[in-house]
Amino acid sequence: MLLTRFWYIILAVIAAAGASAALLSLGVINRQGAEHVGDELRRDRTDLDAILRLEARARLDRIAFISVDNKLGGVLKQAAGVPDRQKLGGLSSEAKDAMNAHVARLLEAQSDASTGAIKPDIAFAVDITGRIIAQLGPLESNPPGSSLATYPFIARALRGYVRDDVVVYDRRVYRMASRPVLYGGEYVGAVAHGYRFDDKFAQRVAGGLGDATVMFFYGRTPLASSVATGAPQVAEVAAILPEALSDKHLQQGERVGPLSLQAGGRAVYSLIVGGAAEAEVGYAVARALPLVASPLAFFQGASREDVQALPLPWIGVACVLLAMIGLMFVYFERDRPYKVLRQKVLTVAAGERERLLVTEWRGAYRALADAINQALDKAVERAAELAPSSKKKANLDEILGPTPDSHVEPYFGFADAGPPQQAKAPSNGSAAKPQPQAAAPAAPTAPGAPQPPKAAAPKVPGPAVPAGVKPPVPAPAPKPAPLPLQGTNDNADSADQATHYRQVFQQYLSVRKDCGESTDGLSFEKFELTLNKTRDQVLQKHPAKDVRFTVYVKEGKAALKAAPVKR
Amino acid sequence: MVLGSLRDSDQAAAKPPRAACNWELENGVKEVAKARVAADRELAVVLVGAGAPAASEPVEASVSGGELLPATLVLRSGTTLRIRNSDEIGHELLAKGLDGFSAEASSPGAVRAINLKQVGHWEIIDRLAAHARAHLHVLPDVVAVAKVESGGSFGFSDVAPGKYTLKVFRGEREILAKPIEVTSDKALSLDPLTFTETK
Repeated sequence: MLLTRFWYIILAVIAAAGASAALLSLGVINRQGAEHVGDELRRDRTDLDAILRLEARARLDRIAFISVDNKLGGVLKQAAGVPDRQKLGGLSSEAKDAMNAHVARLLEAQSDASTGAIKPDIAFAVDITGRIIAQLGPLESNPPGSSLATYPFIARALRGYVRDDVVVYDRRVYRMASRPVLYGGEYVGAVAHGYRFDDKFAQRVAGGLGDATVMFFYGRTPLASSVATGAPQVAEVAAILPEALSDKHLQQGERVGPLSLQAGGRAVYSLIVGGAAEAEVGYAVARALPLVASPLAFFQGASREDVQALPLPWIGVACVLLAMIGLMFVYFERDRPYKVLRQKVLTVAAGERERLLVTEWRGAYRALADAINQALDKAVERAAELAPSSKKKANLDEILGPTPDSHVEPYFGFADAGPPQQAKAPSNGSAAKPQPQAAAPAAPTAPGAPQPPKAAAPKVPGPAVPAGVKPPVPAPAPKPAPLPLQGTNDNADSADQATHYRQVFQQYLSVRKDCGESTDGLSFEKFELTLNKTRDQVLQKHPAKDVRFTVYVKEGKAALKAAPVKR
Repeated sequence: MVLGSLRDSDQAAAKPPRAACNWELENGVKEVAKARVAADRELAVVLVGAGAPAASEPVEASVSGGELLPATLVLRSGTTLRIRNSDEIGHELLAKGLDGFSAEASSPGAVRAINLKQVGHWEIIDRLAAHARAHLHVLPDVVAVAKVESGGSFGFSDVAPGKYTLKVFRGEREILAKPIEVTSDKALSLDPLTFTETK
């Protein structure tokens, strides 16, 4: 499962990378969006400057013909050098009539829809010294004689220039245009008209900017505004006017911003072109900043064209490839071993084999096969315990090897001996059970019963012993109580363990002597210690009541065999 | 009596800090008039030196056409300056840093008086007419202030005999200084003074 796990890790890393990329892309997109909005605002400023410039040109052209109006020119010529205010009053009326007639002609020439943009909010006719001879607008009731001579748009017009300007006059901001008035080939004065900044004008100039908010301001006070749908509100744009106005770049006639608005939009600020810039008259253009708040919003914002632009076939191939690799790993590391294991288990269940060969698998399946093997072993033992004694003995014999003809079943080889060897089957094919030498007196052979092979039991009748194994040596008669080493359960139960150990020890010494082996250094204490150790090991592995030991000869040497006594 | 005249040479206008207009074109019908220094509005001619001032009355100036007239004022310290608003609109003149000349609304026809105690130079601006700029010079030793006509001629009267320095100011700068000596026997007539200072 190593590859599969690694594959899961790889997929997790890919998923994490994808999520990280999505989150990163939000920041990148938002930053690029902000930069894009900033670029748009810079273009807006350029466009708005151009719009205002062209609009100023239109205002200049609008008063072109009145600058050569004979009636107005004559009045202004007469007014020059007239100090009498009363006389100036009469001339003022004539000049005012001329200007009103001009405005009326302008209005007639325009469609109804645009008359609001044609009629000036203020107009002046000044003589060659700059004195106001006539005016229209909020101050037209004032007597003539006040001077506009120092206002640049008048001063330059009196010299013959056509000029626009934005001025603050009587605390109001006007977009002015002025022309010299010619009469008889001479400059006799100037005429100027102006328009206030109102929302209609703001809407008109903002129409060419799309989804932007345009606000004209005078100091910290908004003058007029136009707010497109979804664009920042005027209050937001005006809220940071103090910050914008304090910027030294603004004072030098440069753009300020884009500055961040409270609701997340951006705005640029600029002073107006004209003398009113000194009085902090300017404009702001603001745009909303479309931020992508989450990856979900990021996907929701994708258009059909965006989706179509994706390399979907390649993405599909990549998905299929990744899935195939994952499935391949799962197949090789899980499905196939499982299938093999299942087949092998079925063969075990069918009796075709006894155990699983754990080396056929690796990793978890090897552990699983081993566990199955252990379960099989346990099941066999349990079945042997639950089955009738004869049957049980047969099963144990089959699993553990031949046992002496006793209820004490051999299990454990001891000393220098290996596990007990299974006795060769007699010629009649019946299972031979090895008989320890110190077994109870051999039962006489039944008449007519087939004789065991000579090599198996040359002296003592009984089951054959394995080839190469000497027949059990009878225990010496005078030695301690000749209790049968493989007695009945009753005898085993009743025998004291120490006595049993003593008997086994004596038999072991005897057999060693018979086999020509030395008994020097052998003590009962060491012997007993070894028996106890072996007994404990056997009892840990098997649910037995006790353990019995028998002495036998293996390959010419004395050997011990341990067998659990079942409950 | 001291009499004289001033004339300017060709001058170039200083470049404004930002565009003052979108369009400034010749009208296409008649050639534009040559720019002239309005001497009565832009120039101030004074005599400085030891001695008492020739006159101690308050000096009158007015705001007309949105600008202080004259736009260059040179006064002796301790003089009271009276400014009348001759325009049809209100103004708020101030001179930053000059005590007693903070921004103050002045309605049409109103007069505002400022006693000049400090010596120095200040720019006078109007918060309601941004184009307006005037300059006030307060000197400790001004003896006489000439009245400059639009043609550039000027004259001093009631000047005590003695050695003086004739100074001409335009805007924030002193553009000319000439030592003169006034005698009691006859009027002093100066040759035309030419200045080339650009504004």
